[in-house]
Amino acid sequence: MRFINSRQLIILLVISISIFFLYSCEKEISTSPPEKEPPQGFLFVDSNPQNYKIYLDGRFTGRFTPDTLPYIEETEHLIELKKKYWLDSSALTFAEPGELKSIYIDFMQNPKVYGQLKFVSKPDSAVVEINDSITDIKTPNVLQGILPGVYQIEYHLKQHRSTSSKAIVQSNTTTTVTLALQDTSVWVDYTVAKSGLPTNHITTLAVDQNNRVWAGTINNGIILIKGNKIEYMNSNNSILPSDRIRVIEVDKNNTVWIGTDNGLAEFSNGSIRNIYDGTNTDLSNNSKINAIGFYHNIVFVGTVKGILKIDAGETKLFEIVNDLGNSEVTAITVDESVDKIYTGIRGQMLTFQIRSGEIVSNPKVDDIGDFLKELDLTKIILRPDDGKLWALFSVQSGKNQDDDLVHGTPYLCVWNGSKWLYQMLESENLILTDVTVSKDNYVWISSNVGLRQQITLRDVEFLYRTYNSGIFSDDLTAVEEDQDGTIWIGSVDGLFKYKRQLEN
Amino acid sequence: MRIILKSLLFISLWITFSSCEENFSPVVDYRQTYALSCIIRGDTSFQVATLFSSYDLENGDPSQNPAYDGAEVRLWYRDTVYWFKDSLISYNTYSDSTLKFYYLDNFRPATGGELLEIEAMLKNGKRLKGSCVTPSSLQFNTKETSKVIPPINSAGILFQWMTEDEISGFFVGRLRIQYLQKIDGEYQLKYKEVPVSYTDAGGRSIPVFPSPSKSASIIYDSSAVTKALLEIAENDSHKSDYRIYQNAVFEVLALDENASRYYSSTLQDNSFTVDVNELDYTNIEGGFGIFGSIVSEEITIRFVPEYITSFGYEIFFED
Repeated sequence: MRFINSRQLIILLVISISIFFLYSCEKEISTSPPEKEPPQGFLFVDSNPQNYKIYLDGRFTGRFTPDTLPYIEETEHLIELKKKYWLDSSALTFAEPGELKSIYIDFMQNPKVYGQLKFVSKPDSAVVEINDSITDIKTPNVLQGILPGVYQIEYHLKQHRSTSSKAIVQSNTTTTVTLALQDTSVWVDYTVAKSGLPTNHITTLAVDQNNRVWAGTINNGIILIKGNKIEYMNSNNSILPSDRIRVIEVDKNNTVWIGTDNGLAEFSNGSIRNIYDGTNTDLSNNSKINAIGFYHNIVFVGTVKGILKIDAGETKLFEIVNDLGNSEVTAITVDESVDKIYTGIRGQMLTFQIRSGEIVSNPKVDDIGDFLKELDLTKIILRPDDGKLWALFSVQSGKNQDDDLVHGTPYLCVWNGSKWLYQMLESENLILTDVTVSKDNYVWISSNVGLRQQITLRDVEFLYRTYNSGIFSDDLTAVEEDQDGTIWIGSVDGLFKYKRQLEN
Repeated sequence: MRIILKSLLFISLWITFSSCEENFSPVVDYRQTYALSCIIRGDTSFQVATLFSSYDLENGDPSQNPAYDGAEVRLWYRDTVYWFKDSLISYNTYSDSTLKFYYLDNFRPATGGELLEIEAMLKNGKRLKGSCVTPSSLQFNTKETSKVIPPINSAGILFQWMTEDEISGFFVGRLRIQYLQKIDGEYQLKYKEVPVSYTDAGGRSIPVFPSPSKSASIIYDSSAVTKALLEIAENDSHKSDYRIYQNAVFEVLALDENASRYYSSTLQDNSFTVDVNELDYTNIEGGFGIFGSIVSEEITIRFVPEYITSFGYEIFFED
């Protein structure tokens, strides 16, 4: 056996100590992986035009050009720019650490960015208006080099209603704007949709001496039309006592008298001068105005309590109760030549004599016929040319045995100076709503089945319906002629203008 | 030779005892971590996100904290990106303390499987990201749901609901009794949350509150409602100072999975739920926190007046 000598022992000891030294300090230490530092790439993206959506590697960043994409990975990125209606574009780029790299895309240099607008109208030759600017372009035509976007296109053609539409122009595409223009050479309609009226429901019509048309509405005040100008008067922009307009009449002084559900307004020289209602008259709590008539400078007003007389601002109420116990005056007309006032009171027509501006208290009950006793006199008008009175009677509405609302048979009556002539009209549910006399002595009667034009009681010259005229509603409520001879027709579906003087 | 050996032995022992010596410190190197918390609600268009960060006490200036200011928080929904605005809340109790939060006032997601993604980019470039899917909207099954408390011919009060589509998440219910308590002559509105049951643990009665589950119904023990009512004025002999609203309100939340975990972690007063630090549940990439989505629906249930007055309370009828 060989013994280890001292030299070997020393070497062994040194090796042992070294191993011990190397391993003795080893410890089990748990450490978390080092936190990854945020990437340091920055990319500035700009375009012409600006406001493009910036997509980074296929994902919208929520940023729009020009903007910087901060702290993005230092690698290759796909940058896409997108904008509604505009051509897209994309680019590959490297983001470098700590360096602001820029991308700029000028879309305007690319001819494909632009779109085209093709204008088509029926009939042709309409003038094109783009975004409220009249152009010298006439249909049909094509406009090139249009920037993408939404355009308001309007066509104008004489004797036709202008019409408009929105057109979306996209890059590298042709957008066709095809519009039909309504012929307004003879018939014109005014509605909420086409003319911006506050309502389609017209209740009454009048024309003042300035040839301005006054159209009362069911709940939105008054529409005023002169030429192409439309204005509105209501309880918000004036002292009109109610927006429910029942009757409008114009006197010889061009004062406009407006009967509402809540009083009478006197309009002159551009504004409402007086209001007559329960606070300053004997109408007390019911100021509903049904009818207005003029006797020289005196105004007679049909109310629920009788006839209100207005003379130079002074008022006097003639309370009337007819044989049937009714007092509501539904119609008035005055014949100055014989100093008579004709009134419709529920179930009867009463004629009063006027002496020294006062109503004689004992009225004459006109002997039209017993069968009219159950009828309401809706309107009465004097045809100046022959002095004949035209009266519209309708049966008071009621319900039949099946609980359906019925109006009964209406009558059209004419006073020929010595006796009443009458005609029972054909339809049971016919309602006569308004009557006017045109300068050529035609009597125009609006109804819920169209517009009657007649010269005599028996013969209807023409019945204007939706299928044979420019009116698109048979439910007519009012009729009036203006100074040009144009017939204005109110309905529950809009207002119509019939330029009959221009019709061949 | 012996001298040499002795010397070597001495040196080795000295090395053994001295070579591993180091200055040990219990404090590790500071490493900043961030958290993003945002629960998108389906019943409002006002959404809030908050950012938090660990804070170096030695070198700290809170206003320089990247999580405190200047972060960009964006939400991706369908093809739109919503940018959160930022605002500050000051605490009344600590006048120098403020909390920055980020909010949206125009975002209300559709319910039922809509993908939502959030990203907060701090001003140091750090990104925190999360995503979730909106839960289905709810509708109560009014036919099956109990109408009155105490229930008729039943020991439990049942609430049952349905989701409008197949995508169902987790649900959690909450029944609250509204009451007015007279304090110094004035009535103050208070709420008492009702547990589904009480359990006995070593002689102690411990309330068990609902926890998120996939079940679309929940049954409250009638005895739990009775006990909860008793607890309202447990140590107060003036029972008539309490007016219990005739209608209690049951609210059910539909939660996505993330919100469900978050909700569980924040439940209180329930010894049967492990009360964990909310950061233990995180679905935020790049940090900690929760991004989830919830929708809620509520229904009222009527107390029988005699039941309320039997406790000595008054009943309060709403208009």
